[in-house]
Amino acid sequence: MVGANGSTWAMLQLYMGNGSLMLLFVVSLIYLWITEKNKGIKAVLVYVSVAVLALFFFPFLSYVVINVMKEEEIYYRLLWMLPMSIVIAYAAVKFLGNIKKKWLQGVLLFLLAVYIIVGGHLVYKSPQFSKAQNVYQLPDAVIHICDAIEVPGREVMAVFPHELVQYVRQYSPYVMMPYGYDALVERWGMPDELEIEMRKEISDAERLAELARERNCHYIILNQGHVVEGTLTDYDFSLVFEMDGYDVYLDNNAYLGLWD
Amino acid sequence: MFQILLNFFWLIAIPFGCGLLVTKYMPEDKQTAGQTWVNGYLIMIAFFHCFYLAFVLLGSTSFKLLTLVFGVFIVIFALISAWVGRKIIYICFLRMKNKEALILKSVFAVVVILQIVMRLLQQVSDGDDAFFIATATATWSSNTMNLIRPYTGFVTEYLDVRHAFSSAPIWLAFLSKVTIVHPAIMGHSVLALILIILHYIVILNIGDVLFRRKKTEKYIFATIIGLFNMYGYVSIYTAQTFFLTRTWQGKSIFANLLLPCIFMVLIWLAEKKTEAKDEKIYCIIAATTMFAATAMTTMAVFIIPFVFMLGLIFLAIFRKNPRLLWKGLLACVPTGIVGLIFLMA
Repeated sequence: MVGANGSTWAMLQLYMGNGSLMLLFVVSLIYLWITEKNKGIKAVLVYVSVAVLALFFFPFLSYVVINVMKEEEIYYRLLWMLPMSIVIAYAAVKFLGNIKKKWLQGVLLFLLAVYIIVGGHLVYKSPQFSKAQNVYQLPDAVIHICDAIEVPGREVMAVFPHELVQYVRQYSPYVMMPYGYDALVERWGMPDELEIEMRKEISDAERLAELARERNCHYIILNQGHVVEGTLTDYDFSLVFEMDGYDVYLDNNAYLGLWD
Repeated sequence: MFQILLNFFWLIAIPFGCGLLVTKYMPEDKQTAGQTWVNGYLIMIAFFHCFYLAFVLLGSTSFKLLTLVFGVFIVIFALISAWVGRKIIYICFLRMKNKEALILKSVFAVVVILQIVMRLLQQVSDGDDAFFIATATATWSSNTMNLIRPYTGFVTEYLDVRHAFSSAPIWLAFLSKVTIVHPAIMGHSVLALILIILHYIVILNIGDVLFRRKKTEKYIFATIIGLFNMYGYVSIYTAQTFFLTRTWQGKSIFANLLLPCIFMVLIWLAEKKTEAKDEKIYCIIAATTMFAATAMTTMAVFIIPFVFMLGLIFLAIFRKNPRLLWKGLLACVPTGIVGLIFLMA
């Protein structure tokens, strides 16, 4: 969990965002603690939740997981053990059940919905979401490029721009890449020379061609908006396709036939 | 048409058949079509993980053989299970004919349908798919397991133990193979849709007990949870965020189906009318859930038995029922064995 610096309180803050839904959860827990008569339900929903929170802040456990096992990235997943939505919804309905007037029940339920909507954040507004371009729910460009460069009966090697790298192998098992998504993630610390050259604001065509050949790449795919000093066609590459905003270059020396 | 039939067979009929064996021994009020389907998926995932682990430990990388062996096994199991539980099939579907709380039921249905439609119409850019879906795609096309690096397509020189013990992407590849659906489509659309429905079946089952089958309260409860799931994106780390952005991935299945299943079982065990024979079947469901969870993510080996035993300890104290602890410990044994194998590897 980047930025938590090993502090479990900081981790909790990162996890709960503005804290409004966590506040609702804590209020619901307190309400159930006071009012729930079924000891079993109280045990499962309230005591388990309190124990999980206590465990999350237990120094020995956080030390072992974060410092010894070096799993800071996943420590926050302990919080998944909290049955937040179940506790909040149960407490809310229980509370509403004690209100005699139907109209007041409706108003309070409406206010709860508003609280969740205003205090929370609509998941569909996440920048991760975009309109599905096809049934694979992958960028059209990846599908069209892979379909164009695949050779039946064998694999091909192609270097893709960063924005497409994570999608290629999801669609095509026949298009290999000299580096994958793992090379793009800085904190995983796996830099790649070719990837660095592709990532530059202005790439050098000669260097790109040289590195791609070293890595046995048949194709170089470039975003048409990417600035390249020089042109790949000067270094024995041919522009074979232009599609969906990308230029696809083929190494003139590449063998794309089958081996007997 | 043939593909639609295949999908129906493997994704609906087979899990339903598998689930009947467990549902038959559940209390009558819990013998529902939804719970049968949930049971069936838990059994399918758990058995698949068993077979997969056996293949890995025996050093086999043949996905083709695994598909054949497991496919034949699960079909036979489903047929036997369906035969044994044939008398409750009608009862399971009869319970769906309830017309109470129609308006609230409809509101809840709208929330769920909205989430399903959004899942089908929106795509998600998530880096973990570069591993998860890519592993499934490589497995599905090459008919080998754990031999190809998902990020690049190169042959791997070593077994990535941490990921090799999670069979979730291989299970996705299996479903893709038997339904003739590309893994990206299976994961992003088909399986995601099923997982959303399964999640809400579990939520409704929890509501059934909490509100003693009062339909009005149950559907308000489920609708609030539906809203919470949609607005729970307060950070990228919450279970709700994973539920609607990464529905098909192992971690999300763990957080949004299997953990709620454990709470469902704990709440069943908390019911005053639960008898000793019911405790046994509930603990079997818990054992299957926990074992299935180890297929989804390796951290489940530690987290899910912990939650289950924590719940049982409190139940044992406050319900004065110490035998729950022994049944719970037995239920944790399969998961414990997986944990030991993982630690030794």
